[in-house]
Amino acid sequence: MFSFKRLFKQFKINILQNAHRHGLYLLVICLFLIINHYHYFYSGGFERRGILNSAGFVVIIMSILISIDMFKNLVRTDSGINYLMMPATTMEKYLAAWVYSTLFTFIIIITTYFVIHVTSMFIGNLITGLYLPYQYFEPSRLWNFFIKMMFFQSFYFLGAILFKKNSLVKTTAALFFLTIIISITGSFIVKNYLELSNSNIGDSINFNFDGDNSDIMSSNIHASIKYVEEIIKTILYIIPFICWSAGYLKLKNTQI
Amino acid sequence: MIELNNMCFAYSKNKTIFENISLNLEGNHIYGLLGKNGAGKTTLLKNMAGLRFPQSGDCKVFGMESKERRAEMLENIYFLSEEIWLPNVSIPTYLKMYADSYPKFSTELFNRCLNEFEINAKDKLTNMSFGQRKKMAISFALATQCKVLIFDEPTNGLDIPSKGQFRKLSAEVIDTDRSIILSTHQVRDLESLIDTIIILDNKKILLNNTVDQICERLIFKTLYSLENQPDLLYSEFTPKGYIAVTKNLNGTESKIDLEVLFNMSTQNPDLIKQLFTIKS
Repeated sequence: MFSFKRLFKQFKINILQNAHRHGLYLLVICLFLIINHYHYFYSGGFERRGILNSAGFVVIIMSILISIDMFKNLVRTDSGINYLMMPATTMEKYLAAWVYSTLFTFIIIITTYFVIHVTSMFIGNLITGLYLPYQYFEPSRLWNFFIKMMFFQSFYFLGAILFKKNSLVKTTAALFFLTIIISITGSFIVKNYLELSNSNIGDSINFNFDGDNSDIMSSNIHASIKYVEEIIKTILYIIPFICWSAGYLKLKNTQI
Repeated sequence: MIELNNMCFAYSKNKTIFENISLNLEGNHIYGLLGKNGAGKTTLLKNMAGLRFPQSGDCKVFGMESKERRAEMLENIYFLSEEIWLPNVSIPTYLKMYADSYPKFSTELFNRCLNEFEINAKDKLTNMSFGQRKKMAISFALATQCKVLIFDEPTNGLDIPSKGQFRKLSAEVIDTDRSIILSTHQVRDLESLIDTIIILDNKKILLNNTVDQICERLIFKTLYSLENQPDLLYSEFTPKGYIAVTKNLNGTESKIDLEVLFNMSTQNPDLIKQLFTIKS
């Protein structure tokens, strides 16, 4: 039986066990943000690029690093025994790690950005007298960050369970090769699809992957590209769920 | 509590560890699991705890398949491995992390065990020696008050007084509802604690009997000479003389020598099978 009480206990264990390490990550982010704000004021605010733009990238990196940490106990037999013998179901342990490396990490990073930004702007404006405007995260932008984070997190979360040692490097390598394979296969499929569509309408068009394709876009093949785009988008949305499911099954069947 | 039915386990096709073993472990016992290196003592304990899955047969704990690792099972079974792992936190933080996962955890018992082992309850685990960390882990395991405590080589790394304290504390926590399963090579350390002996040999359970049952059938004695010993079953030469095992035909009481019993069992498995009917 699933229990939210045990899930909460597992979550608490994750927090206490990683408090030192993840606290250090957060400190680095704080320092990075403070330095960023210092430069922002130093340039008199002329650097118009958003001071909060780095949040998306930082959220992804942090969720990757934290995902890798979630199952580090499985690397060694002694710590693995301790992890697997904790009184909670695999689902509760898995969900606790998932929530920690996704929602919790996201909220903590965004809150840190917000607090550091507001504090730095307040102090900066007070000292320099520039009265530069505060910036905010628009909900659509936050959602975009979150979706990107979930996509990368799912790979590294699965990698942390699959690869016992050097999971960060191995998952990155696996992701790299997977991207290459998908790109080549995708290009091949798209090219064939376009040629097929083209032969159907009795027109001869060459799709240039690197160059200008305005002639194609203007034709009714535009609709076909949109269709392929939709398929790719759907696949990208499905991938995280596949990774999370595979990760759960692997964890459930892990033997030490 | 723990029931194994025709359980088979292998790490690979060429490395079979158990062939159709059956075992029934009940409450109110301290089981001693003995076997040569590689006999599968730790593997058997891991199967019981759900850390390894049998290829065929059943391994049930409190009526649940151990490989399912249900929370209800894990709340009542504690596995203390030979090499212990503890996070880099202080003892109070460790308690905050793990104690409330065990419904019957007793902080009072934990503190008493720490006190017995002379461990400061506020110390940081990182600053402790291996032996001290092991004592902390043993204290925690006992304080969980789980129905089944599995200890794999618990006395490894403990100093001489601590071994005695471990025996004392382990004996204290045992009641009708609770059992301890110990795997050890240091039989002398735990001889006085164990009440049931399980010997693993050649992929099977060679012996599964209580100390009382063994002593009812065998006499362990030291002799200066082996002459005129018609009921002699086994003997070992030591600097103090021969340690001999003879048939107990007239109900003589003797103190079991686990090391001798183990050597006798592994060298004469057929004799042991003849003498004892394996409990299933």
